[in-house]
Amino acid sequence: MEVRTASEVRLEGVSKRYDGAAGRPALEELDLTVRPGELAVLVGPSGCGKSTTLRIVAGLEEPSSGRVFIGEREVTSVPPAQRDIAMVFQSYALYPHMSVYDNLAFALRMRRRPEAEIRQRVTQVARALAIEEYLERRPRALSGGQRQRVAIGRAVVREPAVFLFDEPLSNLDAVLRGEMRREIARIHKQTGTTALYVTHDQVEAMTLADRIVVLHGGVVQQVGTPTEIYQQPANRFVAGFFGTPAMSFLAADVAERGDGLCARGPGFELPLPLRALPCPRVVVGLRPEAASLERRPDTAALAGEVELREVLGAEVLLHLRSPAGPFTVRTDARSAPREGDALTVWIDPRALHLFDAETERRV
Amino acid sequence: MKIAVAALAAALALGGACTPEADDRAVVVWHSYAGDERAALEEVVAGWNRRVAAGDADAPGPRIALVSVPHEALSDKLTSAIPNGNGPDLFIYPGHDRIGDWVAGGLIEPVEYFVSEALADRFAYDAIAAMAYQGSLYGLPLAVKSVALYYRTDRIERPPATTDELIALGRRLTGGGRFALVYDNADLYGHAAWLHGFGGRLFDERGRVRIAGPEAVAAARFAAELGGPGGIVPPGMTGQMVSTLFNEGVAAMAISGPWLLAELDDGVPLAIAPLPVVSATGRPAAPFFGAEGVYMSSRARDKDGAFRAMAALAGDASAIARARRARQVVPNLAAYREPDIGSDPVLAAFKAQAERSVPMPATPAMRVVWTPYETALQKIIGQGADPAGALAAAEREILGYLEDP
Amino acid sequence: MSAAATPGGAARAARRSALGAYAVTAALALAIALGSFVLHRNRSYREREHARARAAAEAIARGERPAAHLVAGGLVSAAQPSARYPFLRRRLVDGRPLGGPGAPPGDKILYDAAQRAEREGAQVRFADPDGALVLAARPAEGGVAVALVEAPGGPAGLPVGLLAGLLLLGALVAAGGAAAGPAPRALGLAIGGGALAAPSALWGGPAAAALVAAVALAGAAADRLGLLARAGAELRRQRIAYGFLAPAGLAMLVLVAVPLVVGLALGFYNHRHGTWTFVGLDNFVHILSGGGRALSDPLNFYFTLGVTVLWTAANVLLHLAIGVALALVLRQSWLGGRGVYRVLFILPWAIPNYITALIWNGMFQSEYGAVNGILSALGLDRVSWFSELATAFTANVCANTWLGFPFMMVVALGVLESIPRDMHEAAEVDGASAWQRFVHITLPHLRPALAPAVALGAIWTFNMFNVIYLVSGGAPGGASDILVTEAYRWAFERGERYGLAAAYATIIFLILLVWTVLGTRVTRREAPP
Repeated sequence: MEVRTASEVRLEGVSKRYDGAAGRPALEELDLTVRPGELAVLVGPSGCGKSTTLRIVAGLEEPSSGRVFIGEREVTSVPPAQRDIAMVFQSYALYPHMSVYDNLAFALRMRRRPEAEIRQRVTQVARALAIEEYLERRPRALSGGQRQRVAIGRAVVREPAVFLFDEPLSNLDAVLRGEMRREIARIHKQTGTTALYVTHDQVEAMTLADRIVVLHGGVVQQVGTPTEIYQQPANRFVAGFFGTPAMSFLAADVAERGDGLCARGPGFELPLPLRALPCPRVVVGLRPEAASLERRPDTAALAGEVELREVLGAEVLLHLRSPAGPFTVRTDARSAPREGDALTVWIDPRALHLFDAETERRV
Repeated sequence: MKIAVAALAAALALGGACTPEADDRAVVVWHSYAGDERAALEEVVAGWNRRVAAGDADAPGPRIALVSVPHEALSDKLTSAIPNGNGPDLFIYPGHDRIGDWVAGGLIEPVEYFVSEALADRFAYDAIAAMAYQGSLYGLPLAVKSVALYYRTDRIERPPATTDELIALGRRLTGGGRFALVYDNADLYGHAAWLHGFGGRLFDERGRVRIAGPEAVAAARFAAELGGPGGIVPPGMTGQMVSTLFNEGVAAMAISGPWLLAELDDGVPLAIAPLPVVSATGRPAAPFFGAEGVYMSSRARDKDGAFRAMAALAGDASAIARARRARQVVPNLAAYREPDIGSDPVLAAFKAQAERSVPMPATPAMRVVWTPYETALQKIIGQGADPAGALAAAEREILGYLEDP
Repeated sequence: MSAAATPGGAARAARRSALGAYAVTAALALAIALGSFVLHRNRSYREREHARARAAAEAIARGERPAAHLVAGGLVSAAQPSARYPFLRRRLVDGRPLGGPGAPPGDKILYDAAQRAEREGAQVRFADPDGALVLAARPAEGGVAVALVEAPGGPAGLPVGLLAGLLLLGALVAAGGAAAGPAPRALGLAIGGGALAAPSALWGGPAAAALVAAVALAGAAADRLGLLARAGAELRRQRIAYGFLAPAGLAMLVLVAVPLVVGLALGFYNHRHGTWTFVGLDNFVHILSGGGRALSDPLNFYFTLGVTVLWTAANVLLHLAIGVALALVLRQSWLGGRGVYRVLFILPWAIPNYITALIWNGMFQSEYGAVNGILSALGLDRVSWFSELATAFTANVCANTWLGFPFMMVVALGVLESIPRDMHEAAEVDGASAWQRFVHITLPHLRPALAPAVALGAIWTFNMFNVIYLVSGGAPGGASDILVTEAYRWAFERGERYGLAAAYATIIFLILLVWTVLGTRVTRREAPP
């Protein structure tokens, strides 16, 4: 496939209100830049505004205010057909009465490309996506995975400036989802086209994205690489959204202890490797893998009682109850603790995440 | 549950046995009257039944039982019920033109056997003659209907006596959205007055259809003069429009029958006059008249008794009551010796016109004549077609219907 | 099956089943025999009694006075018409005046019979509906000889004994044959069933006997092939289902099948004044040859057919176009008050169509109608709508389109709402303009749903009697009549030509049948996605 010069996608101050300002807006003053050739994933819970953002970029909806740029061109009021984008829908949206070949060829025919060129491009894409043998079939004769490939192929054959993916894998089963994820990653690497991908699944976000954009309530929570998102979440929401099982949160007061500070809560006292904190109360974030059953030097204790023990094969999840609240610890399968046992885990204070109890931002 | 079913069955059986009309000796009479006419008829029959019950010598019986049938359904019900034995003994029909059909179908009974000259003398000759067909008498007349000339006394002082006067008067009264005359000119029934006035007819002496003669052509031309472009009759006339336009004063004259009175508002200043004389021939414009009569079913059980009832319904006492109460134009001469009836201007006008009318032909072929003739009239009046050609085409069409296998 | 292990048991079972088959055959044969008996009995009764009455009238004409069975009779003199009334006349019978007070009731019959005989010639007929009195009249010297005789005893009764005996004999033969083996069984059924052929031959002639024999042979053959056994088993197995179906089946038979068959049969007869004569294919030939009229004559079948086809095509196209267009408009998001519009657009469909037709007829009235009022308000000439075929046809189409587009609109709306929104969006993104989206997305979805609607609409429009009859009334001169109104006029306005009208209706039915079959073939090729 040809590789074009990739385009940047930029949103400036984009807001979207439905039905005249009643209630919360869907998007609020969104600023976003997707770098050329990058696969940016918009992720967040339902209703966070990610689909709306995608549709605004596609031109299927107009923003209430703000501007949209694709490449150097402002496309805020330009209709979708003229934005040089291609979209893959959650429900595939294949044309049921046309063969796979005609589905793939549709957009090219609309632009009046010569048939020879169409045939060449379609067969090339079909081969790349392993759907060449289905070219004469109708969509209703294909399985879910095959249909999704056709939907992707329809976008790829356009060679657009931007790919837009609207939760394309939500309708597939888990095995197929993994397969298609790798397929999408491969295509992106091959074409190098800028892509904007919307999903509510954090695993897809983590595996596919060059950069992740986390949205919640119409507001961008954080933009960063998967590693940044995971290791330095900007706020409590982002911290709790990524990671399986999710991070545990314990409310604590900041107190002095010796030279430094500690986080003190009911039943625990955790030293903090900081000199000063801007807030009196914090929320302490603990990833399950950050706690260990063995005491190591420079670790602090946290005590609790095992409420539930989940065996996952290679590892075991222990859900503990404590005066400070519930928390989860990951350990390997050979560990002894059973349900009902009292247990003390050991935490490296440097592995803790701290969030301002008021603003929920990272400190 | 079983008791309930049994009780229901018993109730139905009892109810069935108690129907008030289950009097075997009453003569059943079907009619389609409404309003005043119905009230008058019921009054007459009630009086008769009282006298029969009282053993009056003039009313030897039998009792009469009236059954009201909707107007549109009467003809069909008769043709289907009588052959199966479910029909009435007598029936009253608003017209005499179906006698030929009924005789051919064996539905009605000739009654001249019962009628003496004295009885026949009581009726106007044309009225009772209309009840005759192929040498036999099939009923007694109850009322006659023909069209006459209505005119609004607030626009016209003296009604036109000849057609020339009609046209002159009409020219003066037409214009500015108003017209002088309204009548259903696309209907053979309305046109018949001119046809007969010009000397035309529908059947020749041997009963064959002849509608394209020179007199018919002249009559059609006259109708086109009245109703065509620049005429005194609005284009596209229908029966409904006659009453509406006359009522509203858009038309100064109307040619219609006694039924128009019921459709006009109270307080419309009108008078009725006979139709004018055709200037070209000197003959009066003679419309069809229809005789409304009481007929006897061929399946009546007691024919003598049925005839006594028939004579009572058509008798002088009944006629007087109906003329008074419902303003029917009755053919009984005795009725007009009553001062109130004799001096009623409406009745007098229609009676005078009836004397100048032509009975509607009663042959079965008549039924086929209407539609083609009306098509020809529409072409002649509405589209200015040549009358001779249009009438000739209509005659061919009618002959086609009558002679095809 | 029951344990028929013993040979005796097998023989019994065979006899039972044979009797069942015999019962079916015998029932049919009995029906034929009874039918031919009744026909024969009535005919011979009529001939006998008519002969008796005729003989009595002959005797009276000769001057004798037969006393046997004579209820009333005599030589009725010629009429003496009254001077002033040609329809009143006096007659005498045997010197005595007919009629007047105290006359016997038979006098009227004599009078009427004499009257009719003078007009129509000698005649014989039953004088009452029960067939107990016969009247014969014939012109004779000095007047008309009239005889009214009563039939002694009624028509012959049914020979129940003979029939019962033959049935029993047949049953025995059938049972006996069954016990002897399969070949004798078939023979026994054939002979037993054919037992009734003998009396049928007596009553109905060789035709009836042949019919009974055919029924018997068919029954034996069916039994031999096991058809009867299978049918019986099927009925027994599904008797509840058949029981539920029976009332509806009976209703369909009476209300649909019987009128259809009678209508088809009537097309082969000619009706005139209450009498029906068989004319074979004459009616169909008359219609299909154009009735001997020019092609431009409205009474020519092909002219009317052309008008009907044009009428159907114009209407269906307009209904489709307007219905689909309105459905598309109603789907636009910028349209407010959609619910109100939907109700308004359904109204034409909801109002009874003959009311609508009458209103449209009034609106097209040339002097005072609304349409011409609008035209003249716009400064245009008034049009005389019903005086020419083109304008009358247009008026009809207007009225029917107003009536018919809601149906197509509702169907189209339903389909449009089922098209997923993201398919439109995908096409939008792919660069399709609004028109291209309509052609490539909307139309392919509409087509399979609209195909049956169009087929139905075409049939309804083809037979739309109300609009044509009430709006233009066939004006001018029957030109705007379609086939179905033409058939109505043949039946009710042109001398009760019921046979011709029935033939017309049969032809219409065949045309629509062909249309439906073709249409089903076409739509079946395009199965919906």
